[in-house]
Amino acid sequence: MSSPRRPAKTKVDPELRRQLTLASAAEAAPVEAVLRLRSTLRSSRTPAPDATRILAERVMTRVAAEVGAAAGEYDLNVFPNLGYCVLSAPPGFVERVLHQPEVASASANRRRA
Amino acid sequence: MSRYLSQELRSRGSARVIVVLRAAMAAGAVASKAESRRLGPRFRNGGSSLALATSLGERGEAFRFFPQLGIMLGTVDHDGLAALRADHDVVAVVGAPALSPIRPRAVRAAKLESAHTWGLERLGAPALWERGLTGRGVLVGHLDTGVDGRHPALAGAVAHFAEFDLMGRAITPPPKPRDSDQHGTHTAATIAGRPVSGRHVGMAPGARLASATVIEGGDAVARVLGGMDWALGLGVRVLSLSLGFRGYWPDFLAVTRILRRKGVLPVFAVGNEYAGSSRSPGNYSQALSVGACDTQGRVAEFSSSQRFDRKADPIVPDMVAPGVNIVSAKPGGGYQAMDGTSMATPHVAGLAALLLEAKPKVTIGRLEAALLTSCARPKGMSAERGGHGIPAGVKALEAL
Repeated sequence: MSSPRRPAKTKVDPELRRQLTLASAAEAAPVEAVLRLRSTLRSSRTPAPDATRILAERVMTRVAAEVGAAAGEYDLNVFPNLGYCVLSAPPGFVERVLHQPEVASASANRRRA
Repeated sequence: MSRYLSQELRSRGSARVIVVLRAAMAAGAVASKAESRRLGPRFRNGGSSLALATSLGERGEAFRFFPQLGIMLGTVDHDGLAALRADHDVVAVVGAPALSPIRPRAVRAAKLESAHTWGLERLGAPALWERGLTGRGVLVGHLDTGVDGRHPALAGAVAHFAEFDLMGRAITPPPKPRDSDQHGTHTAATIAGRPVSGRHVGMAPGARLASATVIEGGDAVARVLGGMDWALGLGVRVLSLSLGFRGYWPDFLAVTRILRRKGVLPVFAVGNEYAGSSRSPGNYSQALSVGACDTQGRVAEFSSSQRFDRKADPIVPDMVAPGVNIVSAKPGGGYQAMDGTSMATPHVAGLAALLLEAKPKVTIGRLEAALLTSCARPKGMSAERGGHGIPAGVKALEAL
């Protein structure tokens, strides 16, 4: 499954970047990332509720195929009214998600200072 | 060990932590109270902060237990941390800093002795009630520590209630409205408390609340997002948020813009950390940020304020509202007085609900402008500390 052409770089907050680095080094617990999704429509920056669900599932399905992950290896919760979702997954999976064109920005779900 | 944990242990000898229990990891499982009690002695009694002092569990235990989430929240020292991490029933122990309810500066026992509290009077709520406005038909979002729906002042006020887990999922089956602390019941009743024996604590006694527990026992961004998403889906027009991260964090910036675009007025507390400080999301230019004033119309000393290097709305708070010696509902019945910008914020949210009843189709920009236009700074109040000043109900209605 190929990725569509990426329109812009994903903004990643430093705390999430730190947690990904730590988790990758330690092969530790899943990383939780809050993702803001990008609308595919020029008329709107925030995807509509149904589109949010579809975008989130599409991204996860694509990344799971790319990294060879089973559905049970990640946990996704979509906030359709906001155009956001939260993902709990191994660091490699999250890293790949950050490169997807549908993801506008990403931040850590839990701030550990 | 995280930087937060190591810093706290080094500087204070203890740290606030979330303990994730193994028993609750399976889908649908609920952790047992017996398990939490066995681990209880690992926590320290009487931590150094008000946050801990007011978050003690039942029977004076030095921790809080959240069976649905499968976690415990409390303060540990080095030995307690090591013991918890070595325990077979514990999956993880993580630091619990940053995002938190904006704790009241003071909490006092209080009786409700007048027909309405000074805060309602100061903002002109009784004058708006006389014009037939009570907030009827307006749904206000209230994301906090929960709410005691059985309190007489909140009878019929809580239209929707939910609790969210660390991934922002509503816990099922939905519990009855309850407060994991005291903060949420106090703020909820200030927004929409009903009169009891003719005495009022609520700005908009006809409004209804969509109230959710998103804080205490695991302070994750997704919990708040889950609450916001849920509230948006229910059709709230105002969102009252008395919580935040210390300092400027952009986590909720985009979502605050979304709230506005969807016709929701974000009314957020600015924080209780004195001049030169503020909290996010209360310090975004897209939020209606609220500081606290006292009965004399002075900015409360603890009320945060800050100037940012930005063109739009460089000063926070945007306004100040009653936030000292505020009497409101106490979980389990009765009343208590609290000080804080957390107490000021629901006053403004309630005022917005009264105005929305008058003009349900008004845009959020227009509503915010009417509130700001109505503000006046009493003599001696600077814009740097008090923003536009204190809003006035009737004047805001006329400006709508």
